[in-house]
Amino acid sequence: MTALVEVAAHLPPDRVSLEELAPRFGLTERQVRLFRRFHGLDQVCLDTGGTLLDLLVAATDGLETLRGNEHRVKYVLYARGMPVAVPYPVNPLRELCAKLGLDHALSFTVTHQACATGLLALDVAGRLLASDPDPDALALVVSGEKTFTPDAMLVPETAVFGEGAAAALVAANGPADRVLSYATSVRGDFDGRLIIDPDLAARFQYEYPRLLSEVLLAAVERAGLTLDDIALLLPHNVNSVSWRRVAKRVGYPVEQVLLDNVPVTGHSFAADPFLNYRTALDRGRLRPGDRYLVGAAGLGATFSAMVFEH
Amino acid sequence: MFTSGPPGPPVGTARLVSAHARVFAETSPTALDPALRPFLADLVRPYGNTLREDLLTEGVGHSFGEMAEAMLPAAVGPDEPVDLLVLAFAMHDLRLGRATACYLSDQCPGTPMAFAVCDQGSGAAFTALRLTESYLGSGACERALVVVVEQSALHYELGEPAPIPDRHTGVVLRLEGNGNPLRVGQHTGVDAQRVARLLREDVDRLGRQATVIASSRLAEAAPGVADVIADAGQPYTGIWWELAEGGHDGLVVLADYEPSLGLLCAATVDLSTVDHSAVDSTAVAVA
Repeated sequence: MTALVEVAAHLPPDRVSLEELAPRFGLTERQVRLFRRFHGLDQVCLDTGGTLLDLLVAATDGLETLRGNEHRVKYVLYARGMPVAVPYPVNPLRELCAKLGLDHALSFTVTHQACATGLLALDVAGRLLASDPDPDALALVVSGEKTFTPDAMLVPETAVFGEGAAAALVAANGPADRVLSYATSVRGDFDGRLIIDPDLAARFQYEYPRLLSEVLLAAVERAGLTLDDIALLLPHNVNSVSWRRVAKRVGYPVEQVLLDNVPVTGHSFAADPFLNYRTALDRGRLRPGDRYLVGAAGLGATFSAMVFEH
Repeated sequence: MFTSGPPGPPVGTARLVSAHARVFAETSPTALDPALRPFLADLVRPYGNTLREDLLTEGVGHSFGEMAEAMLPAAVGPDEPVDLLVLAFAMHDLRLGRATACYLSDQCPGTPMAFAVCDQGSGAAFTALRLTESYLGSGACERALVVVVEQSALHYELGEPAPIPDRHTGVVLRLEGNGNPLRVGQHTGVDAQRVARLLREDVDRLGRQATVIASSRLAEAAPGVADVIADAGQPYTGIWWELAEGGHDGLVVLADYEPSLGLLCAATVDLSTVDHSAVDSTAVAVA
């Protein structure tokens, strides 16, 4: 049963307020107020001047279990939300592997599920490990992106992206944080750029709560559980209001949705599930045996959920 | 919606039902999309690549979505739902911000679970096949498509040497539980000196005569091993193109080497064994 061995998070030091970001996005004062009061956003973490490799290295530096276990890491996956993030043939993932002494590992990027790609990478890593004859084999999943272009900075009236990064060591089996189920719904009918297509953006916003709710409930059901069994819901940090709506829709207590990072990190692409797991762990929100639900949605669009047992 | 429990060891295998290939002569309208230039400028700015204004003005290149979409009807009929679609590429798409795998899911019977594999050069297609094996083998999926694509337009100067395709090519591989047996192997940490020996060992281990289809890059690194050398102008689809072209019998080994990653990959397809219980087991079809 796929299990998390360790998760490390990196939040870059530069905290930029919505007011400071407004000129870059062309946001009006009213839009800033809306983001702050309605969506619960305040600031985002950025690594000004840093590279994508810097982000990924900083995240993996936090993995204590990795040191001394490099030889066990057979797979390195980059969960990337943006379909293209660096010029061809630049390969920060390979540079990361070289820095970490993981040249022997099979490394590749999974993408095209946008901000739901983090959960996809866990499922893919679990499948590779389950097929691997070595029971001690590990997979390293990294995530985190640069906000290098408008499409990677803002989802209109919804979210502001940040540059948080995360790294997770994954095993085929383990005592903690075991994956119980995975549900994902790919909805390519939302193909397009919301930033220039208001009709698509409106339809996406309208259908979003239902589509996200469906995968959350499907993952819980697949795990053989009900929402009453779920101790905590780890969201992606898109905003607070949409998660309040989803929680109300499915009948889950909103106080059990970990929204702590929404005002301070920004939406860190596919890294959010891992960042929020780390926060939950550090703040004592998970007790042994707790079942928790992780949800994410990505533009394009993909809606995903995964149930774990801590 | 795709749902699964925790992945377990595979209980079945993936088999190749058909392979379809196509070269696209036309240019995508995306090549003249005003959004292309600003995205590219943002993309290359931190790395110092110079934009190719001549290509941006000319409007060249193709979109993976449009290419693959046009090929889907040849690979699956409207009443043949697909459970998984994996897109594999090395050099990026002309349509930079699109989650093309999602788009293709919507164009494909069954609206499958879909994602892309990249940043692995020629290895991405093999990894896509390997992942498809694990989804099919676990019973999580019954029918999958692996779509390997490359397009020839790069609108900035390369920062370091790398292959650039000289045409737009797509290959769609259809896989199910029944069809031609397929096995994928990947060797990591392989330097150029070890390539020939490792590949020969892989082929010898089959214990039967096999036709080796290799990329031109691999044929250079391992002289004398390949029976068929794929066109150098199709650096990431060439070997799969050769498979789809047909004319091969028995065991076929499709192999490639990615020197920048030290990655040697080989996929073995047994064209002499076809499980006729498959819906469409016409061996390896020509597009």
